[in-house]
Amino acid sequence: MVTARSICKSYRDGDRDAPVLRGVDLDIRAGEFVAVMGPSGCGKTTLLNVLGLMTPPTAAEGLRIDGVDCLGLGEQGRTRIRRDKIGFVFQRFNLLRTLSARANIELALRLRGGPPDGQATQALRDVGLLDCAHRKPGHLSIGEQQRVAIARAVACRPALLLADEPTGNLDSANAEAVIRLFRRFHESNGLTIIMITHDADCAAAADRLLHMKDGILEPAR
Amino acid sequence: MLLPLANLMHHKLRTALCAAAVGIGVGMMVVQLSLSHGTLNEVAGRMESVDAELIVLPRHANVIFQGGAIFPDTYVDLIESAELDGGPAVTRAVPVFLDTIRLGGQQQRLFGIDPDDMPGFLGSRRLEAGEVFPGGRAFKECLEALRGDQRRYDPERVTPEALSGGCELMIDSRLARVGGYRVGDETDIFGHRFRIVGIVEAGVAGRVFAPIQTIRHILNGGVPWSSMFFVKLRDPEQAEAMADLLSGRLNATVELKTQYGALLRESFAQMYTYINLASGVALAVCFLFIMLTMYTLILERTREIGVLRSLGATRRYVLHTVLCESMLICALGTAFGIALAYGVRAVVTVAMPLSTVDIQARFLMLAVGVGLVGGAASALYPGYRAARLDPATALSYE
Repeated sequence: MVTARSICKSYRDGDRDAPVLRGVDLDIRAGEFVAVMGPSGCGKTTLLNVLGLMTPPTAAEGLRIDGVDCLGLGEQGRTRIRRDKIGFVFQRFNLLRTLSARANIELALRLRGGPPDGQATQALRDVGLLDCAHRKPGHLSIGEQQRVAIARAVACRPALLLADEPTGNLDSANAEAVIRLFRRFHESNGLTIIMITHDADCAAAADRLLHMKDGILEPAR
Repeated sequence: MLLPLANLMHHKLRTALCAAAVGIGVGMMVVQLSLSHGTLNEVAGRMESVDAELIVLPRHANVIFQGGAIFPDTYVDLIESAELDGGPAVTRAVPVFLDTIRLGGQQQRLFGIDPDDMPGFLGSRRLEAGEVFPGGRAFKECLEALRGDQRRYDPERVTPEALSGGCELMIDSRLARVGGYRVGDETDIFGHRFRIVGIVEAGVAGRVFAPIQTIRHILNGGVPWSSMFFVKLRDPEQAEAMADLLSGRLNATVELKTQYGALLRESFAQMYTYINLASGVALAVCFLFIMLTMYTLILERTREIGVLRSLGATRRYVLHTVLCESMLICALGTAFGIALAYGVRAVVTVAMPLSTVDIQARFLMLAVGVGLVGGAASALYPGYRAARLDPATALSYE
């Protein structure tokens, strides 16, 4: 599903380049659930942004997602792959606060080009929030907000789900509920998931755990 | 459209303030145009109601401030003797003595006309009350008797009683309503007591008429000079040819009566420049306000834009969203501005009844055009900035 070779990413820090990813190699099979752990600032979020085509690598030998070579893609091509193949779940949920739970999901579906039909309803039902469909994020608990964010990500049936510390802002009960949802989508739909987490309990739910340190990815088990 | 609408609904106060800013600018533009054009068109329309084809004006005169008599009585003969195709072409040269008086709380142009010419000024309009210069006619006959077969009379021989009989005014119904005047009311003009003897339906050339003989006697020592002439032709089709002929014959400007509006607008050209400039500045400030608001919104929503991009929104979609939001605000503001203009018209009609606010379809279309184009233009830069945001950077924006 994901093949990355020698991914490097630097940011400008004043008049010098600050390397964040120093040649990351990664192979993730379709239907795999992978957790990435590592200390703060080691480059986990940057890796996720590169894999999610949110930012291009500074240098790389290869980056394929669901069979598509993404290195040669321009802005439009990256946007298309992101829209058609990738779903995101963020630590801070990132729901659009002016839209209801249902409208948040419907917007993602519309961006994908198709009418929302019953997919938004199904996604809300899947995360157990059908009753909250008309509530705006400000009127949802943080656990509910994250479940809506997951519903939004999976409603589009992405090939790859990228989750950046999805339980980072949740209490243990909500974190457990989120991980249960991930497992369910992974097992029932064969969804490929890459999840960044600081929580070892959450990481334990993954099929495979990777460690990141100083911009290098290394297997943990 | 869903997202821009939701954003506007979410920030109702901000939306209302932005729309109000645009509305005030657009409304001000519509009111200024409607008031200036409406008032001038009303004056021009009144002048065009006179039963004549040509007007003879002093050369280079500003038609707004025109007053006093510069045409000697020989001009009447010069005009009436003009021939086209070997025959007489002019039915009548109607002399008018113009001056300015204060009546109904504001300056009014006084039309001094011969009582016998009044039907040509009335046209199809009704005499709502009173009579057409009964004393003015008597005063005219008195002066003719004094003159005998001479061109002039001795003003010293006119008794105060005779002059008093000729001190009459006719006013239009609009001025009568504003000033609360009725037939029989009296007012002091040029140091003499004038009596209102008739009220005519609004739409006639002037709001205030007096017998030209009386005005000439008081202001000109009885010398029968005039400020301007209306020229009635035998064949209206010959108007342009006769205008050319008279222009060459007289030291005067001769125009088609229908051109009076254009002359008025020409006289007001500088004022129009000022009005357009003032409207432009007001609109520019309004749209800068929108631009600043949209720019602030973009900064505030940087993270949201990152979310949209993560969901697969293209740059064009982001730009479209910002443009839509701005144009919705401006459409709302334009609608408010148009409503405001109608409100101002209602107030002006009551508070300043002699002014005319003529809201024309072309002004409304201009308002809609300015509102939408301004909305789009003021959102372009913020929208461009939003569309160019790097998704990852936008998502990490605090």
